Amino acid sequence: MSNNLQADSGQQMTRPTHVSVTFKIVTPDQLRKIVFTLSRMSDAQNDSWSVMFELDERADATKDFQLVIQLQVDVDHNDDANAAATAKHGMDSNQRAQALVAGDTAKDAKTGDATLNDAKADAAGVVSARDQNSPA
Amino acid sequence: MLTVTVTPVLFLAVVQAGFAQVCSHPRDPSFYETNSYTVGKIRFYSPFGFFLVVRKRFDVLKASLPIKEDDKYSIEAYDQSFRKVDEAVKEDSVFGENVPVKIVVTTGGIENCHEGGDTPKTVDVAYRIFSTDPLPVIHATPENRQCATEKPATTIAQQNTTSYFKIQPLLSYDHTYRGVGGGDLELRIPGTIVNNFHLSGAGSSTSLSLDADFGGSQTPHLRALEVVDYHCGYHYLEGPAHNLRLAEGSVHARFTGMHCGTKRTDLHSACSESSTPGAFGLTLLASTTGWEEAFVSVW
Repeated sequence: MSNNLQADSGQQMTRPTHVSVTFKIVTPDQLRKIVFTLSRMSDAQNDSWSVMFELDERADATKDFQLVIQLQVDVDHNDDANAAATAKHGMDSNQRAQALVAGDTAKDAKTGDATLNDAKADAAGVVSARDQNSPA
Repeated sequence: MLTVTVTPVLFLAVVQAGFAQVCSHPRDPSFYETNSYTVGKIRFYSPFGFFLVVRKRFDVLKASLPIKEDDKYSIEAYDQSFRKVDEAVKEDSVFGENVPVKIVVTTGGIENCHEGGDTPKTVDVAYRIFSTDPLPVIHATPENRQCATEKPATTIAQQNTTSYFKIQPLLSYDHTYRGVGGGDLELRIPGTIVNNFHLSGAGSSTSLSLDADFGGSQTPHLRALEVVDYHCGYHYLEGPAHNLRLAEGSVHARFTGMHCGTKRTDLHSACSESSTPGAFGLTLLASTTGWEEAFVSVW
């Protein structure tokens, strides 16, 4: 990928060094909120993507959400294209489904029914779950 | 819906960069630290930037960033500032927590690099922000929220205008003080020594209250004294008492010097967060009755 985009006018369009795309999803029962942030940091050599996955819950829809768990995971370089596509086009249906699964695993990790590594793997799995037919 | 939303956002973000000067190392921000560049302008671009209230909140956000205009460019401050901007715009929606989906896109980059010739070597920092929450950055600081609760109309007017003075008349009735009339005057003075003047007075047939003070602040950017804040005032109060006349008057002054810090949002916004993690303040408070308070605090 070119470092810079060239406009018709010949002026240089600088590619940002930092990109952050955040998706917040509240489940229909209003009791669970998932915050999924894809971040890209670039330097002269390469891009690196990371995921911040946060699960918030509440027992009553009239109360404030409480943080259950927050996970920070580096995206595997093999999934860089999926991460870029997700940041550019948004999550597809596979990824939204995986986000809900990752929420369940994160909850289990908090209660001890799953390990932290399981939760991190499922959070990173939101990126890799992207359908190959979805816009790239 | 997500696809439809994010694509035009990123397109707009790129298009807005079209007028920037060429940067030879746009993906290598450390190059500009290594070569001793200074920060030119810090800009925020948002589809909602035409709202005055949004621009005002960007100004507040900019003042709180570790990276500062005219300071030496630092990659650490640059990275920290992006995280701070991103956190600020990801705050919960003005529509409340129950919005089913919210998307926030934040990008940070460098542009408009003055790299050659006799001109000073500067680099601009640009943040491009989009959120499906239309006004993600208008969340008020705790100080502003309290002020908005106590004086809603005045606070809204202040936040949306750039005024040099404020006048608030006062008219009230109290069984002890009877009918009281007075007012409150605040002047913003575009001087270098004194920045503000405040006069407040109220009087009735049985009482008189008068407060006057002026103050200012400077940023000498000295190694151990980045910000100084000073204040001088006069207070007079005369109240009713049976067969007695009670009156008090005092002159007070305060001087505060700070090295750096960001823990309090009022005085410390001018300090550089990246310089040291700690800070100290020196406050001396004197009145006509002698030194009332003198303390050094470290936080």
